[in-house]
Amino acid sequence: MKKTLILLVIIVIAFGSCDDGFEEINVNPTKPTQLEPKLKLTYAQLATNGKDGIRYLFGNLIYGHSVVQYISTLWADGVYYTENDSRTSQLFDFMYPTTVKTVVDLVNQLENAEDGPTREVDLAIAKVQKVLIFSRLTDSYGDIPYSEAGKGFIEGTFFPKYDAQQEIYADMLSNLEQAASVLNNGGSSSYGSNDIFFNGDVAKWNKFANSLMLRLAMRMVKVDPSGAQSWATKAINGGVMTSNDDIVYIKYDAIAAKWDIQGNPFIQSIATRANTQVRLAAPFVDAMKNTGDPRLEIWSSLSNGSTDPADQMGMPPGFGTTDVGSLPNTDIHAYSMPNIAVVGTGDNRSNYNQPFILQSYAEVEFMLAEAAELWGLAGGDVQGHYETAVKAAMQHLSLLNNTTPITDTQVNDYLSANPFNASNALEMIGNQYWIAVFPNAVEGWQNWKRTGYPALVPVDSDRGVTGGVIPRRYPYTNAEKLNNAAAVEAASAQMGGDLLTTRMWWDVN
Amino acid sequence: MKNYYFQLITLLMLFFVHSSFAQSITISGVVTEKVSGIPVAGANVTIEGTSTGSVTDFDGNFSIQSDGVKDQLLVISYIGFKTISVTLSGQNQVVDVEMEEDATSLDAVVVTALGIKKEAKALGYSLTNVKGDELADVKTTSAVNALQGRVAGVNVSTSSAGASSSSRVIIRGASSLSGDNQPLYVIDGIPMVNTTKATVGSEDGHFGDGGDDISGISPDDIESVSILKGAAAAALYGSLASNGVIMITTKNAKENTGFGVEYSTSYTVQEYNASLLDFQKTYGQGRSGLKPGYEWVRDTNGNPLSQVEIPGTDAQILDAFNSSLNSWGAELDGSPVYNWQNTYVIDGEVKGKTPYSYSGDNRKKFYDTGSTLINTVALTKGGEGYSYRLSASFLGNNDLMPNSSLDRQSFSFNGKAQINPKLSSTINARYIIDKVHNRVGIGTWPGNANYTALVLPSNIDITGMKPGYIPDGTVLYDGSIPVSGTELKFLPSDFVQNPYWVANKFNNDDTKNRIIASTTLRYDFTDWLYATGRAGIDNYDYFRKQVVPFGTGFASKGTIALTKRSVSLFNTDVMLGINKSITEKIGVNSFVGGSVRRSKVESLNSNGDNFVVIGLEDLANTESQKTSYGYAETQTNSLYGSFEVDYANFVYLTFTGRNDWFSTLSFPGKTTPNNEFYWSISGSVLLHEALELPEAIDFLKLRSSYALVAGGARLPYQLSLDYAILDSHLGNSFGTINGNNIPNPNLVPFQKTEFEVGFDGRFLENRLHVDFAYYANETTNDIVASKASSTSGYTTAVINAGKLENSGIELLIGGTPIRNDDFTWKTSFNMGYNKSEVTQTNETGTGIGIAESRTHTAQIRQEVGDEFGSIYGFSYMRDDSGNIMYDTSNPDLPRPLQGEFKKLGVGVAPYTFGFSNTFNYKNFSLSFLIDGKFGGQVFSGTNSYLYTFGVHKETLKGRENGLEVSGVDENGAPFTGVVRKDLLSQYYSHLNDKIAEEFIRDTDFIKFRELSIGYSLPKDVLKSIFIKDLRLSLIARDLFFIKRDIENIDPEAQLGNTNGQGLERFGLPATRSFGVSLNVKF
Repeated sequence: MKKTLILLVIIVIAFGSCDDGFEEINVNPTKPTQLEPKLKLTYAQLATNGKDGIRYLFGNLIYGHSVVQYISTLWADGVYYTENDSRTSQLFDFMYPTTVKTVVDLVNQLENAEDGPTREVDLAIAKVQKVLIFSRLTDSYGDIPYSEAGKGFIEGTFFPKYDAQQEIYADMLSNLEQAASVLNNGGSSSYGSNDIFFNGDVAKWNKFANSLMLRLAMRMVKVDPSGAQSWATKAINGGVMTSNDDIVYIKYDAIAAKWDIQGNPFIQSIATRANTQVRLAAPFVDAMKNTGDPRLEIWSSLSNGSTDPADQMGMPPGFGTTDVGSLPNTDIHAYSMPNIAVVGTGDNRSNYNQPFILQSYAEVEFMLAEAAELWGLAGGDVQGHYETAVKAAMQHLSLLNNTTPITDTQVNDYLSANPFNASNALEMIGNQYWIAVFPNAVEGWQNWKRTGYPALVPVDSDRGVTGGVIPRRYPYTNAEKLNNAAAVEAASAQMGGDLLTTRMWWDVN
Repeated sequence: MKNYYFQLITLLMLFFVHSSFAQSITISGVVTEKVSGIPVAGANVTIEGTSTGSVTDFDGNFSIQSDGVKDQLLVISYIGFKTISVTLSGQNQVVDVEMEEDATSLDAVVVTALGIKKEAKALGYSLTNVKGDELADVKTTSAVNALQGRVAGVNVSTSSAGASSSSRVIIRGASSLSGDNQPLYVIDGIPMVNTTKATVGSEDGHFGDGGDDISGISPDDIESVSILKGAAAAALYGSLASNGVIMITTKNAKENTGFGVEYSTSYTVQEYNASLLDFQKTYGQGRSGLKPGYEWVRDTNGNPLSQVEIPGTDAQILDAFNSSLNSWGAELDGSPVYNWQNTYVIDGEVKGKTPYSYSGDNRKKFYDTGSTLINTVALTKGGEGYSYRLSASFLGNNDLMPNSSLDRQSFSFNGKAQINPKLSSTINARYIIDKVHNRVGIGTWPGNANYTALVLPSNIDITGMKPGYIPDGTVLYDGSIPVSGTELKFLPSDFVQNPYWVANKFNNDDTKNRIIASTTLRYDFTDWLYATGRAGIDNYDYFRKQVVPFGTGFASKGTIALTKRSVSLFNTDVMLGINKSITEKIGVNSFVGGSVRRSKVESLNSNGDNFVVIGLEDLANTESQKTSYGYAETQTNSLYGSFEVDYANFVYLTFTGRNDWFSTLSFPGKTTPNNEFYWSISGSVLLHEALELPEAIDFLKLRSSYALVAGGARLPYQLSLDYAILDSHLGNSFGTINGNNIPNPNLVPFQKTEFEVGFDGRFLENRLHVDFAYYANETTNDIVASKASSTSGYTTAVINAGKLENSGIELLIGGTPIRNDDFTWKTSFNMGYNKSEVTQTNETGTGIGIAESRTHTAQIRQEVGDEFGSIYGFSYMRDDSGNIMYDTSNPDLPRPLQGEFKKLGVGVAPYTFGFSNTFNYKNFSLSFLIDGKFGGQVFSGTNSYLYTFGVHKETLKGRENGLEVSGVDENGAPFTGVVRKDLLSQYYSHLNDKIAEEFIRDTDFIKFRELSIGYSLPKDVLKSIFIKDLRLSLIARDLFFIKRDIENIDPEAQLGNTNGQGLERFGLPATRSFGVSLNVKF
């Protein structure tokens, strides 16, 4: 019995405290419990353009660029307005768990942080970044999760509701106003070189906050003219971009692995597809070719590398894989592709570091021209702003590697060959805006929706589901219909449908 | 440190050999089984009333030396047989006896939870024993697959990724909505690791199913498998046992049986079962009804009139290249057409057109005949007070997929020794080396050769794609020169691979080196008080190398991924027990104990992409690399006890209690509990002992039990948010929230209760055996990974919310209808029915998505009121009368409107059955197993894509004159329209994209699972040679279907072994296998 007792004693000692050390065991030794704000900002900025290159390829390139007739891809889908969730869902499904989650967490972190020398500025910048991200989403889909988005942990909201676009706009604008009022006071941020847009330059963020406010204001021109005017006035008074030095673009890296977020996703997707599948669309090539636009040589080449304007030919929109035989010229190598010297081919990564512009000074100047035309704002000099814009648009292409900068002389020659026509100001502005924002198809599409310029001819195809109308938005995604069904249903009722052709709040043109 | 005491206590082991001497007269003989004549090894032979005795050896021989035994009784006994007594003469004597099976053989001792041996009759719950021989008769590459159809209430399925794929074993229904539902595997008393290395999601899979760990156990080493189905049976294993327990006892020699050698070999071939595939062979490659290289001449309305050649050879070739995965062409007419091969000019040879006609079954041409060779040799030795068995087993398999193979070597040692009269010990150790070369892709299309082999148009000969890469000296039709050695593409998409390129150049290899070892020490203080200590480890190192080679379409410079993972599981327990008769009628069998279970997984993953030097598949030879490290540690501590009391050997009552503490539910500052106490009660009554029953009833036991089990989270680190540094960009690191799961700081244990009642009866002198059980279980507070909207920023949320019920019946009817000297027929039928119901998902009743189809039109979901794992998907939109509604906006292409997202089926079949028969005639035997499942469905991704590509027979409709559809239009008005024949592919791919309902299939089947025809050498022949036993069998598995509803695929096809049952897509086709096996004992 003595031995029995000994054994019992051992059991009791061993289990004297039956969960000794358990709290330590369940802390992941490989993961931090918080990050500095700047680490989050870099990721939020990189992911603003998509989770990775492959998502960009499936979503933006195949569908978005085709819809707005920048690209004609042999890879069907977007070119003739089919419903294809695996294309149109990419922007949505992969933005929320990446950039949205990160920026919402960043804002939350800063809002709850103890006050410090940079907190207020850091927060203002984070809010501008957040507006940039959400504006791209709402403009592409309409009513979207906004106020409750990204708050799965913060607020325990697993199934966010979809907010009406009008309310989203109101809140985005008020956020920009608050941010600009902070940024206007100068100060400094903690972001430093982790801010891949502006390297922590508060003055540039202030200009961007106002320029983004101007963009949102102009979106509302048709649906709420007076609101648009008042916000545009506020933005202009606050101080918008004043030169190509103020441009917002994502800096990428040439050593990024294929599809990695550190490489330009537009370049990644074009490079791997260009030889056989991706061609520039005829309207885009013709718009430059017919006007002697020096940008043609920068954006367009044949697959053999020729950038001679005479050789360039865009592919008519509306041709997919099964139509190659019906093309006017059945040799796909006769058609222009995104300049092989600028985008590269195959898995050559040397061009992955091409910048991707999210808002340019040229865009701002075009909007100023429009504001001058509509309301006499910005000094009322429509032509002056227009010409400044054209020049800025041509010359900011010098940001691209492997290009020859466009000279002042080339710009002036172009402007004199294609003189501003005040009686047709809005159309001229709209057409130029469309060329200027390439390859930012998200922006090109929105501005086309708002202004109707350029006058794109819809693809006439039996295969589309839009009845010969160019899509106005992307439908809600299958994943959301599965996982957030009630909210999607409410949203589509609120918006008046969930089709490619359903008009969102501001889309009344 | 306290917990390490157990390890110290239980680590020493010694072998001891006793020998004994005697004198005087010799009594010897042979003990054999009456019906078969097979020697009975290990039978006890004693002289009644003395301690003199022996045990029969391998050949049934015994020999006893004694004196003064005249008129004493020699008693020969063996578990499961009637005891025989022979009066001794007092002289040297030969006593040969034949033993007969005992009708009341349930006196047998079975191994229950924690390795406690109990008399089967005392069990208040159902426990099924499967003999190792049954699993080893027709061997499979994973022994657990052989359980399919053998045990009522056990549902076994596998992913359709070939011999190295993982298995799913579910006992009495799933108990967690989204957690691991597979049982706990215990080998020789020690819990094992069984994880699945990789599963296939909605958009991946070219590296296939990663296999599991249970497959490593050689069937030849298995003595028996006990399936502890109910919670009461398993309660003592605690949280891990909430899904039931499969206890594997490995073989050892019996004491005093001398030296023996066993050898077994089995060789089978696996062939593709062509009878399942039934594709259309009338129309060939092409688009919109055209032959490759042709276009339509249309009228002014766009209606196709006639087809003419596209002008220009290059354009024709390009068209052929572009359409080489579409079977939407014209009727095969044998006319010469271009195909993708004309794109390439190899060594100046310009290939001409090929005939537009059926080229034969591409699957038959592409897949190899697989083969499996299993050799096992074992040495056994049993002496006085010790026994051991050493074995080595070698398995080699070549799968159907060219270049895919599996090699497994396992070495095991089982030893037992009585160190002194009070101290006994066992030691079990096995070392397993598992090597898989090129696991088979499944699910996706990039890098999955099955996909291409299945959807290729019938006029294209797949062998033309050999060897899968571009030979030197190749020029493209347009004069450009492709990089030689890169993928020989047969279509423009980078995401569909040449199947030979995948088979010959992809690399998907893994190796696992594993040690499972355990040791037990038992000390008997008195004849009724004992203590045992046990410690065991299951450790393995796993290394995986996955290479997408340079020149692959979707990764033109290639990628490499290396994974190294170390897994360790340590278990130890100590127990103090009593086994005593308190009075003449009341006995007590009880124990208390404690245990510690610790698990740790560390992994190192390195990925590189873009190879620099072509052909060198090394991590350093890539343009960029990324490395990550993963760590997961969990621990569960437990205290437990069991109290069993019996009265007069006919009433048995057992109580158990256990408290578990979970590290996975512990966190600094947490206020909710991290532990829970739970208990069980079970009892049985032997009616044949208690009452006067009719003579026909030999044995009748009623049993019932109620049990509660609690469990923690299986995964660590789910209680708090953490972050991850993802990478760096231009010199700046960046990061965000780690993962896409919303953590929960308040997680508490889940609970499962189970009630069981049943009976076990033997009738007509043991000719008939009936066992019946009814059970009902319920899981509450289930820890679930609830699907969240991705707009929350996350895709899942871990919550304590699920409730799930299962109830069902299990029936076993077996017997020996014929038994005479030359001929016996044994038969056994078992069936199980499990009804599951999800009763709660979360507070708001929102469903939980488990897995999704690639089309995102179907999802396996847990919805309140439904069965576990119901298949949801988009249906046809219908009006009130059930007519399909059409989108008529394009009059040439009316398409059904997408309707409600609703329940379309159930992924897990509720009915399972097995029917096995064994016939023995003299030295011949024939046995077969038929099994089936009923009541389940699958969303067939294979068939949905076969629609899209025009390969499915259904797509023949409308090829000639367009497809007439009728129903109602958007406004509900009657509508009849015709899909223009050149737009058919759009119509059928619209079904794939939108309408899941179209592809829901019943998975009911009855399969002729196993057949074995054997011949054993007669014992009179054996007597004259050195061989003790020899058996030669012809064996076959998965021979044919007796019933099958689903077209083209195996009704058992599944994407993986996860809870997402009810989805399948592009696995290996169904196979059948034939072979021979030989078992010899020396």
